[in-house]
Amino acid sequence: MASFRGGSVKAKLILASILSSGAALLVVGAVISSFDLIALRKTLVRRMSVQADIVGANCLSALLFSDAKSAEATLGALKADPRILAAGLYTADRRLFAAYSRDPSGAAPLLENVLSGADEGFLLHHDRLLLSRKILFDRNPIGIVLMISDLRDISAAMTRDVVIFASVLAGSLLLALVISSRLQRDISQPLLDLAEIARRISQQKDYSVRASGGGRDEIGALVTAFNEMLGEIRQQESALRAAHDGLERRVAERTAQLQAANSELEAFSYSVSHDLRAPLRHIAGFAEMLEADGNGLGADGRRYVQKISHAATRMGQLIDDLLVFSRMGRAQLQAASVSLDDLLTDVLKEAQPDVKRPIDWQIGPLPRVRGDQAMLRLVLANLVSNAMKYSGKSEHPRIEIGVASLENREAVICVRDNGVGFDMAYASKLFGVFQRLHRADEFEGTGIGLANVRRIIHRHGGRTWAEGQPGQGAAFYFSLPVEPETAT
Amino acid sequence: MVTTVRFRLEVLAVFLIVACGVAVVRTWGDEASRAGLSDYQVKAAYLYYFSTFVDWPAETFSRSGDPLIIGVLGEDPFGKVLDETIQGKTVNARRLIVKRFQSIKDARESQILFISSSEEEHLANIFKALEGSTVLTVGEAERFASRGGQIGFRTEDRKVRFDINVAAVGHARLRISAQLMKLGRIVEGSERQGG
Repeated sequence: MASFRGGSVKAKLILASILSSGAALLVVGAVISSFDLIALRKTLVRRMSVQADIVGANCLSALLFSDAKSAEATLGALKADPRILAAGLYTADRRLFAAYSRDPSGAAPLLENVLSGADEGFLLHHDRLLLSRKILFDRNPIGIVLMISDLRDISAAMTRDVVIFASVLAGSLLLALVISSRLQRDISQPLLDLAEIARRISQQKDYSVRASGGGRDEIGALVTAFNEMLGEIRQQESALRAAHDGLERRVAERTAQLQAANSELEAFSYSVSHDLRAPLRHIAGFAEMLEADGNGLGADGRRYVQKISHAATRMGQLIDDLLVFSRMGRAQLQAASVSLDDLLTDVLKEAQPDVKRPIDWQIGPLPRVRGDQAMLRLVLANLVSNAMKYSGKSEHPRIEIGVASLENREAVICVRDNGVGFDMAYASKLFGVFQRLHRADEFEGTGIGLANVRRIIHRHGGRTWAEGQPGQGAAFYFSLPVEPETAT
Repeated sequence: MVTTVRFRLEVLAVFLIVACGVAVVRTWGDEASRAGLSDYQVKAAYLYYFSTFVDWPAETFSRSGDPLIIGVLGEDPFGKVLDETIQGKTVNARRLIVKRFQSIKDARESQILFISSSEEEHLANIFKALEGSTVLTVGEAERFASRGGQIGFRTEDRKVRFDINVAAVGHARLRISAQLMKLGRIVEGSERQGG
C-alpha cells in the first residue's frame, strides 16, 4: 500500500518533468521548423524570381524582335540547373512564345494552366514551385517568364529535419526520464520514508522512532514537524501513563485502607456481638430460673421477670442475626453452579404457611447461576419468608416467583406478593441493617433479612431493588450473573 | 507534428494582379505584323529598338540633352508610321526625333540613318561620305550589310529579319549589345570601304 502510493508520487514526478520538457521541445521544434519553412520558402521564391528576371532580360530582345528561336535557345540554357523542370516565355497577350522542358514530353500545357490568373506571382504545389515574372521594356510589360522548379530536394531536407527533430525529441525525453528519475528520489524518498514510519507507528504504537532525511526544503520541514509531533505524542502519552499509574496506586491504597477499616469494624462488631452473648445468657438464664422458681415474686414481679426473659431472648436473636450478617461479609464465597429451581423447592419445603389462609404460589422456572449455594439459599429464604410474612394478613395471599428478565448474561429474579406493600419514598431504606417500615409488634423480625440479601447479592456482583405501594403489595428484585452454559 | 513539406495550394497561391498596360508597344513584333501590320510598321519599331541596343561613343552627342536623331535618307517609305512609332519615346533620357535628309552631308548629324532603297545606286558613295562618323546605317537594299552597311533588313518566312556587319559597326566605333547580335545574321563586309 505504502509502496504503491509512493510509486504513484514517483510516477507523477517523472511524468510531470517528461511532459513539461516534451511540451517545451515540441513548441521549440514547431516554432523553429515553421520559421525555417517560411524562410526557406522566401529564399526559394526570391532566388527563382531573380533567375526568372535574368531569363526575362536575356529574352527581351528576342521578344522585341519576335525571334522565338533565339528565345528558345536562351531558355534552353536552363538545362544547367537540374531543379528547373520547365520554363516558358509568353507574350503580353499570354500567348506561348517559347518553351523549355526538361522532360521533353510537353510541359507547355501545364504552363498554360498555371498562367490563368495574373502576370506575376508564385504557386507552391505538390513539390513544385511555379513562378511567373513580367518582362518590361521601357516600363511596359512585353512578356511573361514562367518557371517551374522541383522542390523534392527541399522536401527531402524537410523530412530529414523532421526525422532529426523526432530523434532529438526522443533522446531528450529519454534524458529527461533519466534525470528526473534521479532527481525525484530527492523528493519521493523522504516521503516514502515518512509514510513507512507513519505506518510502523500506527501499527506498533511505538512513538520513539524518528523520521530521518529531508533537506532544508518543505519536505525537510515536514519531516521535522512530524518528528516534533511524535515527540509531543510521546510526552503526552508518558504523562498520561504516569497520571494513570498514580491514580491506580492511590485507588489501591484507598481500597486497602478501606478494607482494613472495614475488617476492623467487622471484627469489632463480631467480637462485640460475641462478647454480648455471655452476659445475655446469664440474664436469660437467671430470669428463667426466677420464673421457674417464681414463689418469691408477686404478680408484678413475675411479669417483670417475664419481660426481662422475653427481651433477653429477642436480644439474643438480634445478636445472632448480627453475627450471621457479619459472617456474610467475612465468609469466603464458595462459588459453584447452583440451580435456583432446586434451591427454591428446598426453601419452600421448610416454609410453614398459615393453614387458615392458603397461599397462591405462582412459580416460574428459574435459571442456573454461579454462586455460593448456602448464601443464595439464604437470599431465597429471606425473600420468601418476607413475602409470606407481609402477605399473611391478606384475604387471598399470592406470591409470584420468576425471572423478570434474562439478558446480557444477567438474570433478574423477582419475588412479588400482594401484601401490605410499602411507600416508594422509603425504598432506599429497605435493604439497610435493622431498617423496618413496620412496627415489630405488627410484623415480627429483626430487620436484618433484606440487609443480608443485599450483602450477598452484592458479593455475587448483582444488584437489588424493590418496588411497591402501600396496600398494593411489593416486588423484590435481585440480579445474578447466569451460568454461561445455561444462559439460553 | 509537421510531416509534410508539401505546400498547400490554397495557402500559397499568390497571384499579383497587374494593371495590364494596354498601351503595349503598338508596333511590336511578329504577332503584330501578322495582325495586319505592314513591314514598315515593323521596321519603324525595329529602328526604335536598335536605339536601345546600341551604344554610341561619348563624342557623338555634344550636349547631354541632345536628342537622338533617326534620319531617313532618300525617299521616305515610312510615311507617318516612323513618326508615330517614336512619338514620345526616349532612350537614355534622350528624346527620339526623325529627320529626313536628301543630302548625305547633312545626314552625318543623325545617330541612326535609314538609307532608302532609292539610294541603292549611291551606297558606296554614301558609306564613303559617312567615313569617320558614328552613324548606325540601316538599309533594306539587297545585301545591304555585305555591301558595307551595318544592319540590313531582309524578309525571311514573311518575317522581318536583319543582317549585321560587325566590321562596319566596329569601324563606326559603335557597340551593339549581345542581345541584338544574337538575333541578327552576322555577315562579312565583302566590299569594305576606306579600309
